[in-house]
Amino acid sequence: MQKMKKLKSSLNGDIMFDILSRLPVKPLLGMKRVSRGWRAMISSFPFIKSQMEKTGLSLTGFIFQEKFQWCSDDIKTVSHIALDSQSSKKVLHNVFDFLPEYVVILASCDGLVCCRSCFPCSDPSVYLCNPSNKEWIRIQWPWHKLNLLR
Amino acid sequence: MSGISDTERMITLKTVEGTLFDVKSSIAKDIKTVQAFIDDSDDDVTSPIPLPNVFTRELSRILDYLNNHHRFRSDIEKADEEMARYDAEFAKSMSHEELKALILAANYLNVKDLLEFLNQTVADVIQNKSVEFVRNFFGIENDYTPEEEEKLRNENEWAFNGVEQD
Repeated sequence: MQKMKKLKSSLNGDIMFDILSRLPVKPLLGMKRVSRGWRAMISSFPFIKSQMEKTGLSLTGFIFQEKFQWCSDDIKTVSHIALDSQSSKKVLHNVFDFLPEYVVILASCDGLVCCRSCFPCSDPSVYLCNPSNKEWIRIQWPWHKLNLLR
Repeated sequence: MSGISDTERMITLKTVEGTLFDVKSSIAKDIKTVQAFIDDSDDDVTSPIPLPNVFTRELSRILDYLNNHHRFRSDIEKADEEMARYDAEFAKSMSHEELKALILAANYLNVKDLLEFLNQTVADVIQNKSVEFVRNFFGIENDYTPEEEEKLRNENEWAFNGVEQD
């Protein structure tokens, strides 16, 4: 019994790091709830780098947004359809709720999504975000570039 | 190394319990901790190498794994298929506690391929399990307040579809 206890507590550090970095993103997000230490590790840059090297990027779902045909206003709703079998029947509309305003999806690459404020809007912004961990940055609206395009 | 070239050199390993295992030097090469010990010794290693952190059950499993993998590699035609079947059986034959003990031994002995395989096995085990299961498995204390936990749960709600019940 003594032996078991010792073994249980010593499976840590590098070993846990390696095991966790083999998990796909989705279960990994749930693992943040295990403890503060795990959350810090899973959110750290070295861990994210190692996880991406080990698992590669996989297609986990589709994000899409509709457009009015006869009106220049934007549709605020963004939909997410997960690809895994258990949750595939569910279409979620709240995947982008972590941003401070409604957005229009512009482009995506390697799990990062670029979007802009919905129009009409007096003070629009561009956002670069990662919907998996809900991190985002705001980029100043490129006024002059937009004017050039017009 | 004195003139015996056709019979492979044998190395003796000694576990915590004092059990002795004779190992071919080609197998010992895969056990990096042992190989480092041999490399550091000035003359031929004739007395048993003590492994103060490794128990008999774990060492016997590790040697089983290495011997079989060496054998598979010598027969290239069926190697991948047989190795995959062997690995699956190997992983299935252990309880979770045994699996953890083996990881610690493989980690201490620095048997890279086996450690990677075992870590992947654990990753597959915990992938769809609840937070409570994972805490139990690794012996981790929950140091969140109930409020913080609730907040985290809500934040990542879409990650919890498809989690198995304990």
